[in-house]
Amino acid sequence: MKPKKDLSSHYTQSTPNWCPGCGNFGIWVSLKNALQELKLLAHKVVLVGDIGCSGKLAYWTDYNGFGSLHGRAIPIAEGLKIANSDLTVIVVGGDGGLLGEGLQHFLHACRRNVNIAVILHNNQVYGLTTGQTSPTSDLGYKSSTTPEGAYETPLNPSLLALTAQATFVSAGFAGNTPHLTQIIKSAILHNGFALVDIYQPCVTYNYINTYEYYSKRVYDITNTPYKPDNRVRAMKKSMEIESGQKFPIGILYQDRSRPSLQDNIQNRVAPLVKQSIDNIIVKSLFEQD
Amino acid sequence: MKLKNEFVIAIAGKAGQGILSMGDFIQHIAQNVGLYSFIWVDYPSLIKGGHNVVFIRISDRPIYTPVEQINYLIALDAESLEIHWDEIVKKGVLMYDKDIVKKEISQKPNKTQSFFGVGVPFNAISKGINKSTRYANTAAIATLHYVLGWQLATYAKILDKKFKKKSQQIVDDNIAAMKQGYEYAEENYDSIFTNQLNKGQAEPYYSIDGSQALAFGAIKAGVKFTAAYPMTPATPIFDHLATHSDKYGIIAKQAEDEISAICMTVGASYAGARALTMSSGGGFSLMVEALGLAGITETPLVVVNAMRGGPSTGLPTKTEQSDLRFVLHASQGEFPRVVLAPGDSVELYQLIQESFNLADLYQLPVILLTDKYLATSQMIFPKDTDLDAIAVDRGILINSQKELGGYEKYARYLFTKDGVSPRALPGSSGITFHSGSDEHNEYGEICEDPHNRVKMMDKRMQKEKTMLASIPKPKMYGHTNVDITLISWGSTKWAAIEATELLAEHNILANVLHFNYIYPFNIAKTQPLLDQIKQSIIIENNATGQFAGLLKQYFNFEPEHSLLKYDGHPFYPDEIAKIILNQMF
Repeated sequence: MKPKKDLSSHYTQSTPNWCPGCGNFGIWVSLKNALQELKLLAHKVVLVGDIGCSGKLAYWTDYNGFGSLHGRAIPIAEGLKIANSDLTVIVVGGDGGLLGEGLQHFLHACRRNVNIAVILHNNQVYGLTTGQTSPTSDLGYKSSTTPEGAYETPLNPSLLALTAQATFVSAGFAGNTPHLTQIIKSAILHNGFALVDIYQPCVTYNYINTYEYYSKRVYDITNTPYKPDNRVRAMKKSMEIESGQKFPIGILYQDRSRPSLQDNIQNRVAPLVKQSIDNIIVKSLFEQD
Repeated sequence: MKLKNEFVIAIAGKAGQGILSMGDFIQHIAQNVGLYSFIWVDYPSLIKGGHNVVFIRISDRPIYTPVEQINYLIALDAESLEIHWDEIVKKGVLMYDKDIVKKEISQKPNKTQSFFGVGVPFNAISKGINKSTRYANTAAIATLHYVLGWQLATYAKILDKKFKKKSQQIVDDNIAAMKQGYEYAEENYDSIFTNQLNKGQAEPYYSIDGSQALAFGAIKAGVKFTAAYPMTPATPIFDHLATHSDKYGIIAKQAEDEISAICMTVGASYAGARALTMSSGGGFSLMVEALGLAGITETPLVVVNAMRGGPSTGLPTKTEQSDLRFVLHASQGEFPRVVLAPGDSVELYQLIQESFNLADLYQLPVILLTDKYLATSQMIFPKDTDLDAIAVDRGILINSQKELGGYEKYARYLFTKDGVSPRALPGSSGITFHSGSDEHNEYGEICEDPHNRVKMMDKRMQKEKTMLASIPKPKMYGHTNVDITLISWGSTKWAAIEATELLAEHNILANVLHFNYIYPFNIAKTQPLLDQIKQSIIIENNATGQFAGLLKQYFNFEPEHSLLKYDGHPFYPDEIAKIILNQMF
């Protein structure tokens, strides 16, 4: 199968059923753009979807897709990547799945530096279960489960990833697809764990963090004096969002020096799916003391 | 009931005193002189201190199970003495360190003490050699030699072989401790003991524990990826795979929790590597949702549940067979699965290989049940066992678009008569496809259409019928025309078989029907075996008779008697025989 010539060749028999205007469309387009620009062979790419509106994206491209469990897309992607390192493995999931149900996997994947890209559709709300408060909802956010307003301070995904030793941490905006396309490309190319935290408006349930809200607040750090090579500076930069006023988008941090999980494994063991398993000899195991 | 031509040595002390390696030495010596051995352990859930025992049963005929008696006890602390005082048989022998055990112990049996006492200053001997107590255990094993009437030559050879790699000094110190431990006993105690069995003609065997048998079988089956989170008594399987990972090209990944472990395993298996995860009941509880994921995505998956006493934390280091019903129904919804329960080391080695084949052939989860007793007991594995008896069978795999035949687009979940759809792996040239936890159509796309739903459910469930071709009937051990049939499943196999030998001495003819393929049942092949049973007793290590319930459900068969044990210990043949004799005949 040849690399895609244009986006129209991406259509599958089923098409997205997101709400009209959903921020997921922008992420969908950016991801497909990125894959196309990288000229990756379709059969060598696997999208692992979490559960929720975002995760369904895995069914809606004609790259390989695996729809997983809520919160569990990351460990599935890790096993997949470890077993066949020839594949480009990308996780698509939301703030509920990746930072609520599956937060432990997110943190451990960061420090494991497993070579996957995680596309975090961060809309600060549980969309598919009709608008409940999520781990990144703003303080005071009102929903059916928090009618009095959320008391919990929101998690900061980029800061979390940085403290957990992620080697690529970035942010994007679903309303700026040319920019997001470039960020996703960099994330896919990064040798190690890569996070793309994407500000994604939910047009149905989240009336606060809208396109307008973000359009006024995001700013691109790509062509500024900011250099993504210092972890402490990156942490400071990532904390700007906590004011609710400034949302830096671009690559916040990248460390190319740390070996990825794959680098460590390939010195020891041949690619797992390429090994022949017929006629393995085990007699010597029995004869050890 | 008396054991003929065999005996049990128990070494008891605190965790950290080296009793396991003492057990290994004694096993090695016995094996070297042509005797059979079976080792089992009993220990609490802690690392240092606490009461630990290793039992070594030695015989001139093959033995596969523990017995409830102690002929020779080496007590390394005072507490061990109190705990096992009543378990030492009449005219058995207690060996102890005079300086540690302050209790008055008689050299000969008397009113309060049914056994001989042999006190030797094990620790003082060691301190005399190198100022530490590290050779006390060597002295104790030497004392055991005197008591058994065994020659020291084999022991000396084994010490030399084992410690030469470290240094000649360590060999020499061990030999010195060995000599002194023997001589002290010889000088201070009459040779009052009958010479024990000191050689035999055992067929060559490996002495390996259940965790090794499982790990070796998994390696043979081509396991390439394993992920797990530590939990007793499953972890040793993972450890063995990790130990041999470089040699056999395996990645063993310790995960952040059991949910991650099983999900990584599903991911690796979806990619095409044979993959394994393992835990005990608590960890398995966390894995449950992903079991259904493997079910609906039709991803081959092998999970080992090494059972221990439940519920909850329960008895972390004790044995039980109480997760059967749980693993049979674990995860929401309905999907086909296989449950296997091997009964000894050879079955563990073989059935884990069958598990991988069944998982690949029918694209479903396979759960292999073992337990603390099997996992930690060192069993006979006959050397003439054909290690290559089970060939790898990966089922129908499609490797490229060329193999699709007339189909333009690959349908991962193609409707087929037998329910098995040809499987492609991600990365196969020219093929892309979708798989997912949502109900889907043949192409793996989300589909909630009721007609498709019914068809897809039927396709998946059909596999449970198709696979019956691969499911054998339970095995009958012993004669066919008998007074009573003992029904065992999994680890109760050999306690039941040996109980029939004990019953034969009382002129009761008994046989054993042993189940190791637990689900699905091959009803057509199994029903006739149950129909010919006159009277039966089912033997299960649980409180509610979980397997008996399955026999009722699937065969309308009810054993007349049931023997349930849930005190944390495995069955002993003599307790089974006694109950049958006392209550049924």
